[in-house]
Amino acid sequence: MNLGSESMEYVIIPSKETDIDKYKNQGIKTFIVGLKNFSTGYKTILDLEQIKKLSNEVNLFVAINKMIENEELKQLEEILLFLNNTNTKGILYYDLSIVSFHKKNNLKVNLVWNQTHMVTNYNTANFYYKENVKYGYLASEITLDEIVEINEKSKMSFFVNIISHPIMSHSKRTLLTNYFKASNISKEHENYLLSEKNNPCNFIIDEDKTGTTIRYGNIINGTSAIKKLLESKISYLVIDTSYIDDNVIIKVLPLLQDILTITNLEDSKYQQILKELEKILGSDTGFFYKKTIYKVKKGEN
Amino acid sequence: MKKKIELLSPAGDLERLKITLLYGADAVYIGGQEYSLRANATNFSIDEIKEACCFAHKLGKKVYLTTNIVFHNEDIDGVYDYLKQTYEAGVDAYIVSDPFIIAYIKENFKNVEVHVSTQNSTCNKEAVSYLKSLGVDRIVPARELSKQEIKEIIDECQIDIEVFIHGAMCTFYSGRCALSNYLTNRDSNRGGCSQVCRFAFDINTNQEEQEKFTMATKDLNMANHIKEMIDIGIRSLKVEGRMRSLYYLATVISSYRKIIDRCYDNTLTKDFVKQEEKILGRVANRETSTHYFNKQADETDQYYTGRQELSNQDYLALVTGYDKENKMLVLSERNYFEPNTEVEIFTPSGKTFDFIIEEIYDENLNILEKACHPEEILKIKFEEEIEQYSMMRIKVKE
Repeated sequence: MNLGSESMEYVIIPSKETDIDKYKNQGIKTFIVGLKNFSTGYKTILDLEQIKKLSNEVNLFVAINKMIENEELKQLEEILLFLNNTNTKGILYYDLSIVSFHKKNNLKVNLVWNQTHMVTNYNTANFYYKENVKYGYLASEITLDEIVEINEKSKMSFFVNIISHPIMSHSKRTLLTNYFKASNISKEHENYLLSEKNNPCNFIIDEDKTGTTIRYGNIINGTSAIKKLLESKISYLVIDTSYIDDNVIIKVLPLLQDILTITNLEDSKYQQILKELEKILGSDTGFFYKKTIYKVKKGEN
Repeated sequence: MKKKIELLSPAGDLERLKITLLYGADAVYIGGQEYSLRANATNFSIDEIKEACCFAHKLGKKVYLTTNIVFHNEDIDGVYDYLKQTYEAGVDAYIVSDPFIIAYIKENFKNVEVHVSTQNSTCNKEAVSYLKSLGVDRIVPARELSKQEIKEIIDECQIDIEVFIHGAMCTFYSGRCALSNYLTNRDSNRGGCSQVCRFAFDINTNQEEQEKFTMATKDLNMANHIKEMIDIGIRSLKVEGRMRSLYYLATVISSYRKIIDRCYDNTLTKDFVKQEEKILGRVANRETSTHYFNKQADETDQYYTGRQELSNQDYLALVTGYDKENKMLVLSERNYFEPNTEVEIFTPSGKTFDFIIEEIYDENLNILEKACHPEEILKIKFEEEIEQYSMMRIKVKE
């Protein structure tokens, strides 16, 4: 039996539009892109006509994940109606106005529950499923066991980040602009690296029209979780290429495709591929095998 | 006639709850032992929640229970029992963020409200309408909204809106921050936030001597905008700080109580607000701003390098009783003071008494040169009996 399931596929968040063809040639059929003025944290941002065209060429999910302001609501509703008449496979939402418009207008385009750090349990997945949300994009801060349990206890189809610099936080504040203004020096780039004395990892800070986003500086390599994710029939494994060199992705994709062709009996081959992936991506597995805590023991502050 | 706006206070434990209600809060929000976003506050047991509700209800006031974590699978099993027990304890509302909880409470419990936490960062009219359609009674919108945006929501959605007026602010959208998870392994969306946004970072610019990169925000202080908030139809004014001290809460609630009451009886003056702002300024250890209320937040709303959070020594003593025989106030010492100190006592009912301390006595009426032992019982001469829980502080000069 192959580890790969027919219903599972790799999904790419491209760093630039021109990468899409490159990844298509490597067998990727499904992509997530941002929408002009309505997305945050996406490097490939397209307008509606570009999305319409691309939705005819690939399985396309569109992220409308910025916080929506009152004055944007009218335009947002028009956008949803437009996308409903394209071949867009789904819309990733953060703001609940999208669920509301979807319901009111009885739209057929799929919704993806994509509230970044808040997609963390099966009960809420089941709540949104009843609201006609068929997909969920799981938080990067939960464990592999939690992912498997959510998938088992919910009817939703899930996206899981397996390779990414995950987003850590998003602010409406222009934190870089403010800092440089206060320091009286000019801001020369859109993004910088932050480091902190007690942490070995850097953090990528990026500012755009929606505010400031901070990403984890290491690549999270969740490829060791793929076997279990396949066994639990997760639908989509996401490779977010933001801030990852194209050449790294090009090297990694054939190895990832190989995993889908091997059988359970060939565990040594799987381990060998994982070793190769680790050489390229590093060994930071994020929260796949590490639980966060929230109650601090006395004296541990 | 419109209801008077609500003053909503935090309370980290029963003592704080009682003090803050006595000092003029109309309602308090508290956390139980589980499911609240201040996992490391003292928080309330079920019995304490019962006692809190009894105490508040006797005063005609309300208790709201924060149940606003972002649930993980492991948190789900126990929550139904917890909701049943706390409902039976008498809470008036649940403050929630996870929508499955909204549906569960609405289906299973009567006469209890559901308030959507700011953790949801609700930003617009359509999202508010959607939550209203789920049966939500009140929404605490994102702290990033302007006065105009809040007004539009109130005008169009006709639902109770609660906004923060005082205390610490998040740098990031609430719910959209997991810095604490990545840097300290503490789950911010389940109450473990380690306030990484107050850390100092190095940044890779080309400058030789680069200031540390910080993103900490100033605190919020809306004392000068309460009238506008009443006028646009906000239902509840919320103070942040379930982990703050008794003195802080008493001072802040007392100041806002007076400002609100003066708005309603048309006696609020600029000078009065200015004086209350001074008092509020002294109790906090950070500078304040109004953040997004009238503009996009900018560099003036943040801190950069060189700031220290100094502990405040203004709070001198808690009034614990009155020695009628000797006409003396009985005090429990909090910070150092000595004879000739100009002080002010402020009471739960809003009265203030200014005077200069002449002599300090211990509980056996021996004269002391100074008060320098926290919680030591002291006495000072005072002609009239005043309310229990009154507090003595350094006089804030006008």
